[in-house]
Amino acid sequence: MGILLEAKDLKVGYRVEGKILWAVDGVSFQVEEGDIVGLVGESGCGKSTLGISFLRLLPPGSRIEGSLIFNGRDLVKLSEEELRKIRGKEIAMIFQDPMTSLNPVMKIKDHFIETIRTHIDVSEEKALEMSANVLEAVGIPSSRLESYAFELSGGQRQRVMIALALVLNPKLLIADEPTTSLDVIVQAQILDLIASVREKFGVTIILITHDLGVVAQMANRIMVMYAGEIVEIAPTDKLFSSPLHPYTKALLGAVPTIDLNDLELHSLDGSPPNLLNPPRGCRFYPRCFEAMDICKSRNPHVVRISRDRYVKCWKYR
Amino acid sequence: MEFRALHSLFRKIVKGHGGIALLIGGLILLVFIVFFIFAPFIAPYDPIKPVGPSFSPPTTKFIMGTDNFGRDVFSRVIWGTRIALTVAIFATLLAAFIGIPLGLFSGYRGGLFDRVLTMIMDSIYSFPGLILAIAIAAMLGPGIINISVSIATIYVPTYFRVVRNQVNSIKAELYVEAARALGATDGVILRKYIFRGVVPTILVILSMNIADAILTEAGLSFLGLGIPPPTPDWGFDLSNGQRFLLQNSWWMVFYPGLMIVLITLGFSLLGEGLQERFNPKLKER
Amino acid sequence: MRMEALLKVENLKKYFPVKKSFIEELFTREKRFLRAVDGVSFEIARGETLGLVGESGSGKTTVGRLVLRLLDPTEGRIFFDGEDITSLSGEELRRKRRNFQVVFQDPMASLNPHMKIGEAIRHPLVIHGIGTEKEQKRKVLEMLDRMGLVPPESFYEKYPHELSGGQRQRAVIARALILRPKFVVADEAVAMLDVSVRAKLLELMIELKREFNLTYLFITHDLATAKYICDRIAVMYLGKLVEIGDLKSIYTSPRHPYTKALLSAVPFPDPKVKWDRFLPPGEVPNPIDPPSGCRFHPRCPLASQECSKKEPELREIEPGHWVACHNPLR
Repeated sequence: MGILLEAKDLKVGYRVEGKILWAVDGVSFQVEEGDIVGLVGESGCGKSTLGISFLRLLPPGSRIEGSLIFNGRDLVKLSEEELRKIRGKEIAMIFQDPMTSLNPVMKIKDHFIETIRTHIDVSEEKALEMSANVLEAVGIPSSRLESYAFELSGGQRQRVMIALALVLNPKLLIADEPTTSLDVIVQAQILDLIASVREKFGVTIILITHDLGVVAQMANRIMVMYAGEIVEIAPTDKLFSSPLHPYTKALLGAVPTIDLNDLELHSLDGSPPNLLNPPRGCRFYPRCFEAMDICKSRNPHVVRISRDRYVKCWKYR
Repeated sequence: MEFRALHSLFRKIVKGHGGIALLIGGLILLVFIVFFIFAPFIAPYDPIKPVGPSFSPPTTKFIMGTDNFGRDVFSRVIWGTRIALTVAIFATLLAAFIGIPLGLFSGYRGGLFDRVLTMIMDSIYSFPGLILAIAIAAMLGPGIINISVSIATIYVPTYFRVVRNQVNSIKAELYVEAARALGATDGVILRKYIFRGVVPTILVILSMNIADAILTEAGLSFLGLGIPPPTPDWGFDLSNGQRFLLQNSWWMVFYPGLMIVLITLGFSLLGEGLQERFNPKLKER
Repeated sequence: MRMEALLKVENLKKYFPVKKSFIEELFTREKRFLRAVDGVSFEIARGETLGLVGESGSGKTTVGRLVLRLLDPTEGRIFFDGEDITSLSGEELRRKRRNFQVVFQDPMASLNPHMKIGEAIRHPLVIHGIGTEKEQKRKVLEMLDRMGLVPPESFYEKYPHELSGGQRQRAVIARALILRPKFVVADEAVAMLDVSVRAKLLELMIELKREFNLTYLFITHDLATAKYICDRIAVMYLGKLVEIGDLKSIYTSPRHPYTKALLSAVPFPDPKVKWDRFLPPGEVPNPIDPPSGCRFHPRCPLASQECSKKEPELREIEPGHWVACHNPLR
């Protein structure tokens, strides 16, 4: 399996009060074909910014630096024209809130036709045929093509979003909190769908979420983000059985489970640093139980523990 | 010491959104306030007595010329500030004092009362303002109070609508429900929660309103429905002056017109500045 | 009624009239209702934490508001500390409010953006006329300190937008508790907080429960979080209570197929644990037109003929464990 996406020292910043806030501050990682990579972190860690940076859907005035190589091309350097050809066709994205992602005055079929015909030159019939097929694949009867968004439930809308993302057979699907605003049972249904879709369509998935339960069950590799940096990358089973970074450990200790034997929740004091003025040393230092002197003054380098394990922490050199 | 206080006040006004508008608008209005207060000292002549030859163009003796009765235009224009500001502010405040409580009450209570009142207000609102003012002024007759009342009438719906809509949206906010859960009475909720939220908007509307009221008053006077002569009034002077335009006595029209434009500009800028200042605060939430 | 029950709710119903279009208004007589809460009864003992669990459309949030008398029930009765508060209104209700308070989900929305935190927390004392201004301020500072919002003098002067999510929620809790209520409804109180902050707040709420002698109604959709703070769990579906029991029985041996589905739908944060999902097809139907008989029957794998015809009653299937199901599990 080859490497589909590779980021090298990627930085993404927003213009805030005249200064640049680097929401993503130098991340490097690789995504292999066929992976489901979980990108986890809490609010403000930069995971959503990283998600939209893959398609450069950033607001005007933002800055992006470093490199992001997809299929041999650097997405950071491509022009808007070239990027538009990739969006929806080679890289697709689904967002958190299905309620607002669909145009309320367009029928479902119009969403599909517009997406399809923007990229490939086919007749309307052919486009409808493609749409019907992909809708069936996500469990929505093709008769729904004639419906409007408000006629569908939340779960159905999210399925439509997934179908829209997949209709042109993209290589990479980015799912930004796809189940967060859905009910518990519907969440599980959609996650099932995402897993099955990966099989059917052979698409590589980056799953962005704050929910560790979701990545535990869905992802084969996990990247943990904190304060704009990726602090740990590991295969899922290793991340949970032997987490390396103190933040990962703290996060795992704070996650609630329905297991009655799991009686304690360990909280984490304090909050992430203000990224307008990032500290000189390790960003997790003020909250870290295993902090050392060097952590206060110098930001750790990324250490490669093994072929697929990386950690950004002075404990491992 | 005083200078430092002034300086920091100055900076507080200028920095931040809308600062320039506030500054310029404020300065213009400051000039007019000076005219208002110190009219007897600034105006060189009695505005209602003939003091020179009629139709005298601007000279060093009469810096804005004289009108058809030989009255000093400059003095009339300065004294005119009093009428303009008095009527405009009185009318605006009257409208606010009626419209705001009605809006608060109607928006908070809702129900049939609200629906009926809204219908009435909307009818008044949709009626062209100046025409309505003319109709009422014609009925009431001339005089400062009557003019103010007729002008106030057309602005009451503005306050009513804006306040009512704000009340409706704030009413639905979670923090109002939280206050109710704490045991707050309706009175407390109206005062501390809803009114506080409405105040910034009201301030903006007040200043825009005064600007508009000045124009309306000038319009009424222009049509002869306003302050009766010989009281110095910009609108009346405009009307009077335009009769003699063909004689090239441009100063009789130009200077009153200029005053109207400037003071309206002043209040509008103030309103714009306030709006920009408050808007980011509103957007922040 | 058990003497220790602080809150008792009997056959509580809340129907919201559904607005009709103008044409419908003219041509149809029948009124349509959204039966948000349709006959719910339960008790909460003094010092207990009852978790009220359900998905959207279950009616759990409406129950919370009914119990706090922020809404008037269409039918049914509410007893607080032995007293019938169902039809209380006006001044009497206002004064009673000291005893039951609420913590909403969104701390930013439940705090008045124009009010300083200190003023907001002092506000309940002002409303109910408790203490002098000096005493009130002192109490507020104490409370801020207890909530970990230190230094309290500094937090007193801050506005809500200057605080983090967790801090805001603590301010909300401070405001709720300053009147020393007996009962607190927490409506998704930690749902909007980050995982690492959530734990801290749950910990705080548990400590406060002991310290202030509180009784909680903990409304949530999150069964994982509920486990850490609740003593008993009540599960709602489409306006009805389908199961109620103590923590252990619900989590280890749920009897209603919906409860089992809810529990199994939570992805377990451990890849080694096999995720055995027991997922009913479809989604929660529209509460305006609920299914006949047992509301869950169209999605229930164990549904029988009876289920579509007759609504099941809550029966005590084992001591303290009640289920509303014709074919309960095991």
